[in-house]
Amino acid sequence: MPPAKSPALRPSHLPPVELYRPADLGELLAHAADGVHLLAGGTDLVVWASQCGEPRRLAWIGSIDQLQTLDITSDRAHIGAAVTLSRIVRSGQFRSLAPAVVDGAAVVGSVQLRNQATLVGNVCTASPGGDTIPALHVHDAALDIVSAAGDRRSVKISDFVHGPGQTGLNTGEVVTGVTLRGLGQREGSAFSRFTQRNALDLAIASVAACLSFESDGRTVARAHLSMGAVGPTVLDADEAARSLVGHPLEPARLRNCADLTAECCRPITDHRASADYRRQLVRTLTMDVVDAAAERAIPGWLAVEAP
Amino acid sequence: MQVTLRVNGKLSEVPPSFIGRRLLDYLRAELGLTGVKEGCGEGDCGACTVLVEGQPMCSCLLLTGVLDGREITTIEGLPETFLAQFSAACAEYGAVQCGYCTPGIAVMAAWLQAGGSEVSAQPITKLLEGNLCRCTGYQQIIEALSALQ
Amino acid sequence: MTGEQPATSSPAPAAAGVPDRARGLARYTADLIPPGTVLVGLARSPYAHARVSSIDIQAALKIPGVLAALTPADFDDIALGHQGADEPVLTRVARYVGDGIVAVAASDQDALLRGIEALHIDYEILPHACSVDDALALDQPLHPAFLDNVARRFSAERGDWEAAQKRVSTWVEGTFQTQAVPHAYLEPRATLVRVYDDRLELVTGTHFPSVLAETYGEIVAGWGARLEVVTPDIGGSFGAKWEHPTHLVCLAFAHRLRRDVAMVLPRRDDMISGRTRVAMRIQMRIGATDDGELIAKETMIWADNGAYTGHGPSVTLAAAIRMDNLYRFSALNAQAQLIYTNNVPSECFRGFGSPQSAFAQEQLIDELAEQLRIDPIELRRRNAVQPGDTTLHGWQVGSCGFNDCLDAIKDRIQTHRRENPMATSDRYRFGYGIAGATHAISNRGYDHRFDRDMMSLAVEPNGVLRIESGEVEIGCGTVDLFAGIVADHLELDRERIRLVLGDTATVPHGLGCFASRTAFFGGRAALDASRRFAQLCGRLAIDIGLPADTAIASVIEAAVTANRTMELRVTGSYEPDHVTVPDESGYGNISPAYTYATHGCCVRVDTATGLTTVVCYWAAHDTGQVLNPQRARGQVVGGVVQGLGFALAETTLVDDRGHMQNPGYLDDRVATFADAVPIECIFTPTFEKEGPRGAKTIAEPPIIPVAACVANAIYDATGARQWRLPMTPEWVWRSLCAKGVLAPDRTAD
Ligand SMILES: Cc1cc2nc3c(=O)[nH]c(=O)nc-3n(C[C@H](O)[C@H](O)[C@H](O)COP(=O)(O)OP(=O)(O)OC[C@H]3O[C@@H](n4cnc5c(N)ncnc54)[C@H](O)[C@@H]3O)c2cc1C
Ligand code: FES
Ligand code: FES
Repeated sequence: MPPAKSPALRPSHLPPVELYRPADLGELLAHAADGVHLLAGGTDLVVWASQCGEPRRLAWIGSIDQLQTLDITSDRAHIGAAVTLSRIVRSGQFRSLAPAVVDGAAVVGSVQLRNQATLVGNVCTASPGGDTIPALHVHDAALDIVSAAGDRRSVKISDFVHGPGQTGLNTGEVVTGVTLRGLGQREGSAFSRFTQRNALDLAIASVAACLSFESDGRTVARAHLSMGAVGPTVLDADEAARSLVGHPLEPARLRNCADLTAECCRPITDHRASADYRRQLVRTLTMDVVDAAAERAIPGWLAVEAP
Repeated sequence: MQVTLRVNGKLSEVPPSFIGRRLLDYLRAELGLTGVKEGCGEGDCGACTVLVEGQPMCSCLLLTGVLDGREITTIEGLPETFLAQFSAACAEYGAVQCGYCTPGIAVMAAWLQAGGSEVSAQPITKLLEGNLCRCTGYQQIIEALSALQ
Repeated sequence: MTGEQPATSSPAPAAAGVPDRARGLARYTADLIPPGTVLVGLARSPYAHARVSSIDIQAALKIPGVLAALTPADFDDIALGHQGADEPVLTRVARYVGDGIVAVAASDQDALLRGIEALHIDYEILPHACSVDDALALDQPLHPAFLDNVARRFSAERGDWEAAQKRVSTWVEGTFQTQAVPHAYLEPRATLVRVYDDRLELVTGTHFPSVLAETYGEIVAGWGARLEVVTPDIGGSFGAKWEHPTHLVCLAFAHRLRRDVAMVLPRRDDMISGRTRVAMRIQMRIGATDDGELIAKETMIWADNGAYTGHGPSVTLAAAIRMDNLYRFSALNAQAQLIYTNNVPSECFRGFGSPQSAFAQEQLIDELAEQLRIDPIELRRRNAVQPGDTTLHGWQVGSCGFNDCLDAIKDRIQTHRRENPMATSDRYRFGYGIAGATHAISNRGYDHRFDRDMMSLAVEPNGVLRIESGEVEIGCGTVDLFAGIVADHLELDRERIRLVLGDTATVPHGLGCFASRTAFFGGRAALDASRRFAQLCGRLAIDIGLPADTAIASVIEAAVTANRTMELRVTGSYEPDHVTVPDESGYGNISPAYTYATHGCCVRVDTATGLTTVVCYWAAHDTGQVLNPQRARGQVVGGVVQGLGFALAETTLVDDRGHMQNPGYLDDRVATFADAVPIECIFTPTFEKEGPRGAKTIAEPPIIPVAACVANAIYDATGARQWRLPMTPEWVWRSLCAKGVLAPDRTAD
């Protein structure tokens, strides 16, 4: 829900907010049904509210214990809606399960912001450049959603985000968490973004990759590529990913795959970058990220083999 | 709704009018802790950094009401021994020019000194990525912080 | 505090030194606003150019908590800007997006916002121009007195152009575009006005409290009130914090409501209505002989003034001629125009116009070196200005260590090259660049009446020595410097000295902090005051019955005991005698001394993304004697990093409706800790006989050569010349595509 009107001309001050601290999910759902906006870390919401003067009624999800859980098993992870990016970044167990998500979470904002911001908040903001989203795509993440009536559903992340700032969340619905698939054997994932500054910057383009190899350790068994900031939502580059499957990862194939990602992205030109430059970045990032994911799958693997 | 914080070691009950306002406003306007600075109000500069339960956060993006029962530390609440070391290091290395960014950096320095897994694993330049300084070009701050560690 | 309270002056805040600042004890304007102060906010124009056809404030005034509103009619006869009084306090014609139309005062923030939202303002939209070309083509003047939208023209022709041209065998030329950059100081603009009976006290961070007192004083006198200006600690300025309409809005409300009022701009507002570096298009050509003698230089500048005139005229003239003084040219021809547009008003910014012109000149010098097959450092060395020269623009060069700077950088680059063989690959290219710079210490042309400085020393009843100066501390270490000079000269303990700066009620007149002049002028005034003070102490000693050569500290102690401290008060001053007021074309010896610098750097360019990474940076400066090496290094490193921002990242982006696209740090991209680069700071000392203890100054010069230096390194790495700032990854990548530098699989679509 980025600002609807140009925020420029009203002094940017947060108006006094009517704040609720529901003690359990039931109470939170009641507030949501009443049109109260959900507040997680506030690193997006407080900025918008200052710029636009609304929303003025907020329900904080952080006091609900159930949303604080970070559940990690051998093959999947569930991240509660109130779990901060810092917690994810610091968890060694989570890192080995979904390294690409950690790559993304670790570059959001700064130490201070990651201590406040949540993973679910990053997804619900639905920015095409949200840094955890491409990695969640390649880890087949799904959002766990509860409605006011208590109905639960699970929505694939690629179906959840509809456009910039738009999600498939119905009025009164709340996201309770994200569930994702962990890496299997001979599988690796990575995420990388391009920014002008080395920190505190938003991606001009980003790419996540998840790659698994056959038991020969050379042939790609499965591949998933996803791109950020180059379309209205994060986009999967399915054709490019398929081009890797069934073959060893040779430089020419990797280059071809990078060209395919550059072709299938749908960037716009805005004040951060032009469309054709974003395409070029996607091409470069794809090469880097596939390389990094392969390295994590089979340590010591090198893309550029001796001729 | 009742909200009580522990600010710099002292319990303080937040008046209703501040519950739905930013922690930054409560600290500055109500408690007079003007060492906490506002540089941007949007999480971009780190001048408003405080410790919440020992972890640095931007007080410009936190609503006071969500912090019930939490321990908040501003530059005013940092231990005197630390402040003496920090200001001596700043003077020695020339780490302060206009000084507007300094309180936020002091709070980060206290956090660095307290250690923790995140701190030991990363360089100062990464850990302080959220604290802008427009004057110094960072080099002398990095020297002062390295000397403190 | 309100008018009912006793009319005693609050003690002027003593500017905080480093230890206090490090403890968070410095007090900036916003820290001095007591609860209950009336808050002020502005309704700003959403249009780049529009006539305000009607204003209705009634609904706003009915909102509980809203106390008053001011409209353009309240400021009809007032226009701000002492280089061109053209900026209304509140305007009937909006000339940029963000121009203030109506001001509201309220008892709290919420009421203020509601009040602003309840205003009803109608506009008649006018055609706008957000570039100099559009403005020159616009058939509508933005200011009625300037039909062609040209605010000022400058022309400077020196030497015998015809004769010189005949000697030129090689010309190099280019058109360069530099951008507007917000100053991005960390403390947003803030104003507090306190009311004492018939006296208004303006508390605000500014470069020149005395001049503000003078300008606003006349206006306030018209209301039947008196004005004092107090400068508390300033959270950075870099050239931005001068006169500003918000000051007068606050003064007017305070006077009308008889209450203390304050206005602190949110960062976004600050950037939208703040000021920027003057953007310029510079067309330049330089001619030389085959054996590398620089002969002639021609410069044409189109400068973007923005909506109103700040120090754009001085900046434009500086850009047109100042960098010429680095070399011994035979003839010069510079033409410049400063053009009104519907952009944010521009202002001076560290380095004045020289970072802009250096970007053009120092790249062309490299270009020439390449064509003539002469080493770029050698070419500069052969033509460098020397001590004792009078340049074509009338600068009388005293101390000059430009050659030493060049040698130092040459040495650093050679060593670096030797010790770090760079692994240039298809994707990553490495290159070295250099650039030179010169800067004046002051500008006699700034205020034609005078350019001097005064400082008073007085002993307080408890024996503390108080230094009073009209100069201000903006983070350059002025406090420490003045106190240090006085303490050293009088052999006093630094702890027994207190500094009062920038309070116009108590301190002597100073011109303020600009053009790197403070340390030099203030330092000389401090020395003079110290000398006088020592003499006075000698006389008092004899009077009290002590030997005339009694230590100053002991005389002060004796004076305290004898209750005669009030007799120990002197004022010292400095006014250089060999400077001249420049003529219209900028000719004259405008400054008592000049500084010189050479920078060098090594960059890595990623040809796949265009990203330029500065691997290593060397900054060599001739700043006379270095009085405080730590402070001086801070100015150099800080200036270089700001320069790197100017070179590689920072810019003000405006869409086709004139809306700023990036009003905030996130999109303005000020360098972060993670962007810090290793910078070695080298001082090649000279002795400047005019300066305090042989010193010159250092605040501004470090930013001047940076963009040119990096551009030359990018060229060295890739062969692609940089015509445009900032050299963002995308623009560098485009320049590589245009040059065909890229590996075949990485070219543009
Ligand atoms: C200076 C700065 C730098 C930043 N840099 C980056 C960056 O590099 N990369 C990046 O991706 N982002 C960046 N961000 C954006 C932001 O930090 C992230 O999007 C963050 O993860 C949002 O999480 P939050 O908990 O703060 O969300 P909030 O601000 O609390 O909420 C965001 C949105 O999600 C909704 N929401 C939150 N929780 C739920 C829920 N459980 N159910 C339904 N809706 C919910 C809220 O209603 C709101 O609309 C930056 C922000 C700032 C201020
Ligand atoms: S004021 Fe909070 S980060 Fe800038
Ligand atoms: S010292 Fe001025 S912002 Fe850091």
